[in-house]
Amino acid sequence: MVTLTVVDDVLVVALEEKVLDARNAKAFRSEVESALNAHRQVVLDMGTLTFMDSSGLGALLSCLRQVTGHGGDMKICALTPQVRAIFQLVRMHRLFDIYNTREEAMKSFSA
Amino acid sequence: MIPVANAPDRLSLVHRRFCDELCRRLLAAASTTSIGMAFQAPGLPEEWIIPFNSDNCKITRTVEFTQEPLSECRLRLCASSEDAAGLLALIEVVAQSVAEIQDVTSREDLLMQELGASWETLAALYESSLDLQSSDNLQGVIDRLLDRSVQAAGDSAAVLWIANEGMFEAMAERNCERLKPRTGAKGLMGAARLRGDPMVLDANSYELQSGEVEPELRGAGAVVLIPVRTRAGLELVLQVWRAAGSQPFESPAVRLLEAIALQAASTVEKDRFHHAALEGERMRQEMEVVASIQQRLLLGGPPTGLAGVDIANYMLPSLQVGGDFYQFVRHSATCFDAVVADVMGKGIGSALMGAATKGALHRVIAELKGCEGTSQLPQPSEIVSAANREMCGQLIELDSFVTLYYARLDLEKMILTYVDAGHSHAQHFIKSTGAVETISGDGIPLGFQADEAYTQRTVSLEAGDVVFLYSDGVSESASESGEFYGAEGVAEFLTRQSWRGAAEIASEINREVTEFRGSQELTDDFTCLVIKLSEAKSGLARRIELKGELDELERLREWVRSSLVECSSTALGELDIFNIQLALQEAATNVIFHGLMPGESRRIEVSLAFEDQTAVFQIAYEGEPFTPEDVPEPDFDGSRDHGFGVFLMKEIMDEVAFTRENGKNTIRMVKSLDSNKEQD
Repeated sequence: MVTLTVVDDVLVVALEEKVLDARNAKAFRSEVESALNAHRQVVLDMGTLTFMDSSGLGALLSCLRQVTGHGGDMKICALTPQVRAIFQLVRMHRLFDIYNTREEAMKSFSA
Repeated sequence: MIPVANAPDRLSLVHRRFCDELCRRLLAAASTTSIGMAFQAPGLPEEWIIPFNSDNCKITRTVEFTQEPLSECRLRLCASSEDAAGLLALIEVVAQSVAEIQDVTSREDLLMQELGASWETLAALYESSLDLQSSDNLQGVIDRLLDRSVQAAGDSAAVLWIANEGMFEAMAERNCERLKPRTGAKGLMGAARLRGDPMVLDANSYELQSGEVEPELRGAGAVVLIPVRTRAGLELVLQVWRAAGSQPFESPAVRLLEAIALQAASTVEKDRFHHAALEGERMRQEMEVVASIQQRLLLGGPPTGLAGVDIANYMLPSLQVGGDFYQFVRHSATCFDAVVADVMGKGIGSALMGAATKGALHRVIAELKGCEGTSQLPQPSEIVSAANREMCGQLIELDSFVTLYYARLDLEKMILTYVDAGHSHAQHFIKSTGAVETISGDGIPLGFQADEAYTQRTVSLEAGDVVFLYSDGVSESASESGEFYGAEGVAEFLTRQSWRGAAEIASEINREVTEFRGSQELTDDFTCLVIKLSEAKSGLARRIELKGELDELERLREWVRSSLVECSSTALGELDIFNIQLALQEAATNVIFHGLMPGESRRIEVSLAFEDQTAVFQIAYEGEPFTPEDVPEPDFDGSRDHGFGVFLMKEIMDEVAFTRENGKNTIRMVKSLDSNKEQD
């Protein structure tokens, strides 16, 4: 459900699902867990996502905590307006660094 | 409306004319000699190129159509022109012409209305139908029909071809020499027979420029060929044409010629059957002709895009088809008119009268709506009075009349406003009391007094009520012992069966009446319209049952989307739909994780109703009691990754309530659909 690639020391997690919700949030979480431990710089590309619920959001929060827990940093990018609106509904847009494109997110690490 | 089956042909005709006309204008305006156009539209061959092509086109412009009925079509225009000013002028002409021609072509949709509108043509048809009923001189009747054709088609020539032992013989001609029999396999006649539908050509049609054209049609300015084939095997072709330089045939003229060709077929068949003394068979044949008029002109489906109402129509033509018709006019998502009418008499004449009445109603509504300074809908009483004013003289002249029930349903105010013009056939099942009441008035039928001022009455409606409109073919169905089913029978039926959905009610009454009739045949058209108002509490507009599994969430989201899109009277934005999906998903997820008990009945019922500009969702399930007070406020600092569900529901919806009754929990969520309300 995700593709993991490393570009210039940045782990890019590209989601391949349309939906991240109660049905698959746990699977997503366990699929990225070990990779997140191994990297300090993470970009999560959510370009394929058209629907997310609070379980999906919970999984993202959990990822964020894991990465920041070992001193790393996680950026998310390519959200559809609807998905972005959920972040705002639960005020999470203040916790996450959100970028429009993957390129911008990558660039933010090199700056 | 035009039957769906014929739609592609008509489309192509419309598009064809559109292209031809556009080319003509372009050639004139831009004084260029080389113009090419390609036309793409659903239902047409991949790409369709008009024979104005040029090899050295230098520019390409695309014109996008947005208006009906040419929506979804793309026109590519190439023209060669050296100067920029000429180019600009060209594009301007395209833009203007598209708008103008569209206006003309969209009238094609109103064909039925037009035929009904032209009283002269209908009166002519009516008279000739009487003529053919009384006369036993076949040649005489055919001659008169052909006279009518030439009259209807303006300055033109006409031939009626009838197949006889493998050859087509000219049964009669007007304004042309006697023509020899032909096989009918080749040329334009062959093409028209192959199509099985009227063929309308003008001077620019490539069919007319090909080598296979019949000698008398060569160089004609406009041609119509109408092939008719009856089930009994009779085949004829009505061929009408105008000299070079004439106007193309307009659609109303074509429709009229079509009707005349059908009548000619009916006349010839009748004559043949008369000689064979097969009375029963003759009736069947006539019915076929009239049924085709009925199909083309009198019937239509219920309106779509209405919220909170379930509508079904049912019509069974009798052996001697009459002029029953019904009609729906949608004004908005919450307001529509339904009409049931019965024309006195049977057969072609009354079917045509039905068409005329339907056309008159259409036109009168359009006219009253267009009155300056009125933004309001014309009242049913005004509509019926105006239609009567228009039709009365002719109805009297033809010794006929029309009974009609005109009902307007306002689903927002829950009011039925109706005019009963001598029809007296409407019943109202009242859900709250279980009673059925007759809703009739005391108007006289159309066609007695031109200055009659019809009055309207109102009845208030409630959720779950059924309004049943019908023709006397229903109530006057007789049993073998001679009893009538009667209005009482209908009322009794409704008290028993109104719990069903509209379509089921319609088919069920047909079943019961058929059973009642026994071996008696249907002697009058059987027409009914069932209008059932959505029930407020348990029935609801929409419902879905889910298994208590996470795999069902996708189905829930799809259901939410389609229900909102199909039923809501307000156009919702993508974000609104998404958020409502999210709220429902959160509720269902909580129920699946925490509400349902392990075991068998892990089911969730979700329903949606629309009330006063709001969408009301209810999620019901048997399971653990839920106390919302126990749910802590979520943490927004990222320290906890769950606990957002209820918060999201409340954030998105305007109202969220949790109730419990007899071990059953219900989550009720209300969302305002008022588009003026700001999104949080």
